[in-house]
Amino acid sequence: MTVKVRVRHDRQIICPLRFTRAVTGPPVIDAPDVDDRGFAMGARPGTWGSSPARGAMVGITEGDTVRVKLLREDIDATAPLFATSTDTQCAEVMAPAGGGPIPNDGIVSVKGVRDYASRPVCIQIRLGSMTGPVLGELEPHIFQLRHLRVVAHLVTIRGVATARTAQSLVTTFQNINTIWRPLGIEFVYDAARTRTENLTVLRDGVTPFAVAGQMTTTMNNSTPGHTNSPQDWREFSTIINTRPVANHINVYFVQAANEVFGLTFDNTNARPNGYGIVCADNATDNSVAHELCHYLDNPAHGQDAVAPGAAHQDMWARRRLMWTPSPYTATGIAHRDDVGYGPTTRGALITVKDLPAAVSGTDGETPRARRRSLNPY
Amino acid sequence: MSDLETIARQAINSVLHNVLNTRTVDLFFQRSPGNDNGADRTIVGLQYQVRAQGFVIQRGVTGNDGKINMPIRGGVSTLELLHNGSRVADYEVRASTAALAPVANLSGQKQRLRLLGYQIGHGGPDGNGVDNTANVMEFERSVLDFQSDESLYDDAVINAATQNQMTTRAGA
Repeated sequence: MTVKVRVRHDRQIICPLRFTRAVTGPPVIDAPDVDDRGFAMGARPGTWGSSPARGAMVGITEGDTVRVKLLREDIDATAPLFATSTDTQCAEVMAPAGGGPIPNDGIVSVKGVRDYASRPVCIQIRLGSMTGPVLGELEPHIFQLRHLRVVAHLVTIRGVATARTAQSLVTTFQNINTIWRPLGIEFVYDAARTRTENLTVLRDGVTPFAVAGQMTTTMNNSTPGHTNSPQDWREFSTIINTRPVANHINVYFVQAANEVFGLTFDNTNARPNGYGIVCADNATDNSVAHELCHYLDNPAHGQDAVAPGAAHQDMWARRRLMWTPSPYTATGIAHRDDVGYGPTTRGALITVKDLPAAVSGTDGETPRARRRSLNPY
Repeated sequence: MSDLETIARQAINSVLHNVLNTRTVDLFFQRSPGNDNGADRTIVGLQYQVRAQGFVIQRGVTGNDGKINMPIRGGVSTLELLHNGSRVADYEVRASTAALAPVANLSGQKQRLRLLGYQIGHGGPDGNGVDNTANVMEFERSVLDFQSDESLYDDAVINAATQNQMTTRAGA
């Protein structure tokens, strides 16, 4: 395919390549979403070092081999392209063998060899051979795997229990760990340690839960009974203070919640208000993963605005795990209504880049979660 | 820098002559879009040749600025990227003398993003993504890319700040 160029104003910049996720549909463990939000790299934690790369970033757990997809935006589909690593002790190109030519589907496999501090690495795409000119680049971040212990509580409220079971949660946490794999974080769930809780009254020992089976909150201004005080989430606080297991992330599953799919206080909220996660039965595995991202120091949402009335509606925001809700209301714009994960389904991108607050609100979810994962309980 | 030159050719003893219109435009190959500004984003060492009207009229290798002074003869030239002397990629290059459309217009926005190297697809009458069609994925993505790269709020809303920055960066 010959690329057509129509030069105006006597000047034209040509940027041939970009990267994207290797698959569409639900998350796949060896096909992480690629943080391709712009070509600027954003702020970097001190341990990431500085890099001249400009392009997409992707997270890889140390020892994993993942697939990413190269898009030939402004170069012939048949141009022979090769992938190389600037530091094979950090990241290595595993396929295509010998680095290229990269097949027509654009799939390149990269192994995260080792997590070194302050040693940035770049996957470079070259024209013609392994030594050809560099046309585009991807910056992988390799993360040593950390295990975070989770204990699940199956909650019955006034006689009505969650439909989840210890066994069903095995699959849930497998799916959650697929989403979290690019960050080098694995949630360790042991079905045998799952607890059952029977609740009828709040922490005051007197007031009953408002609705059987339901965590009732009044956090929204429009919800009847809203007081703009801790009274608005006292049922939540009661649940997350029920027999919490030390040195674990405590996740409580209830049948229903009137305002949310899930609700989280991270461990900066000391008890008695407490910290932990509550998820309703209509929370998808993606939603539980979303709550865990809140728990790991990411309180904001993907659509949060930097100014009133400026909430994100764009395709990038909907691709983020921290967009809410999911499923969302269709907009009638095809690329917003399917951001690669299915119709009106938010994505699973946990941002690697940390773009300035003025650009995207709260960002840098991967480095924030990694930092908090050192002190998660 | 660009120029438009008209060269009259007349063979000896001929009563006829033809005219070659040659326009030279600047192409920049970069790993990321936007003006380079010394940000180390150019593609260095690209071997190329320019073919027009069946003849190779220029050969070269991009330097540190990734720039090719591209001569366009007879309205269209082909830029051929080479590897070890073999052609590996083609660009059909045409130039327009028309001014950029107003930045308030969709086509004007797409023209500027395209000029800056943002990847807006290959739809439209010229096959370069420039048209008046709204709600195209590649266009929204390129607006977001541009806003992010320019430290603007990345909501894909092309407000006055985004339009002003498009104009500034495109130089018109």
